[in-house]
Amino acid sequence: MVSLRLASELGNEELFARAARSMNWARCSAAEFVEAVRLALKVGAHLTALNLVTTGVQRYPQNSSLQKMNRLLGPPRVLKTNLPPIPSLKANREWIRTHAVEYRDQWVALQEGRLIASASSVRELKAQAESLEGLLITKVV
Amino acid sequence: MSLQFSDDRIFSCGSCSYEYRPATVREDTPRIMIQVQVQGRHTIAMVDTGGLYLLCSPELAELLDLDNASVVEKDVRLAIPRYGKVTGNLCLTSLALLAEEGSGLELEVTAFVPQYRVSLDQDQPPAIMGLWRCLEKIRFAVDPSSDTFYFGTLGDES
Repeated sequence: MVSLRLASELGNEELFARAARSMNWARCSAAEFVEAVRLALKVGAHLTALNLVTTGVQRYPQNSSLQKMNRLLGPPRVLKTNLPPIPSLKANREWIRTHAVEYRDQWVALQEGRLIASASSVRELKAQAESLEGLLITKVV
Repeated sequence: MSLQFSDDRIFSCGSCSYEYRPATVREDTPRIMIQVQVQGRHTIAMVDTGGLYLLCSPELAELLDLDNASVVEKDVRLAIPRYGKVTGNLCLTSLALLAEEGSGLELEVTAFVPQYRVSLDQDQPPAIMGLWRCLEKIRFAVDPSSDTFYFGTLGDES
């Protein structure tokens, strides 16, 4: 673990990956796996982090930290399908296209192609609109 | 209109039109921009197949209160070609691909939220959808002749 900590402190992703590959993970505890994954993410070695969490959760399937990390670094999951189509997407797109110059660099809130509020920041937008629920929120480019 | 394989298996369940334009006022390279919902919030995201995670702008993260998500890893470093090495947090969130035709779908993806606004150019689209840990478990295709983005699940093959 010392070499992993050192590589992480140095911010050296390649060194970290090499150190991780050379370690004997069969002797590591769940806590060490958790620390190693965190160090990997801290240095930006995301693939190494994934490999470590996959190995760790196989060896310690009941460890809640590794379970959370596995969910975070594991593949995305489909939650819902068959969501109904949204016809207003076109109206929003048309509004942005029509008003791109006028509202350039502004955050806008649109509802079915109608402007509800505009501001120079999201914070100001929130203050202007009663509620941003159900509105398209974006910055006009 | 949905896309199908030659053996009639479904490729896409839904489609939407995309804007092909620069992602921010400071850029001049067109990107594919589509309307999505992040944690139920309707916004616009850029498609970046070379990217990792769902990169959320600090503004979007503030709107969604992502820092208080139930599963968070802090002090994560990510190399983002347009911004360099950035430190932020990883958290789970939902991403819905919205359909104008056919049906939409919702995914649980991993979002990266930069910790410090100064780490990034002040201009950033609300969200950038990378492949790794975001779009990697769906099929998608573009038809540049009609600026249409098609998407669908892997179905039984996932």
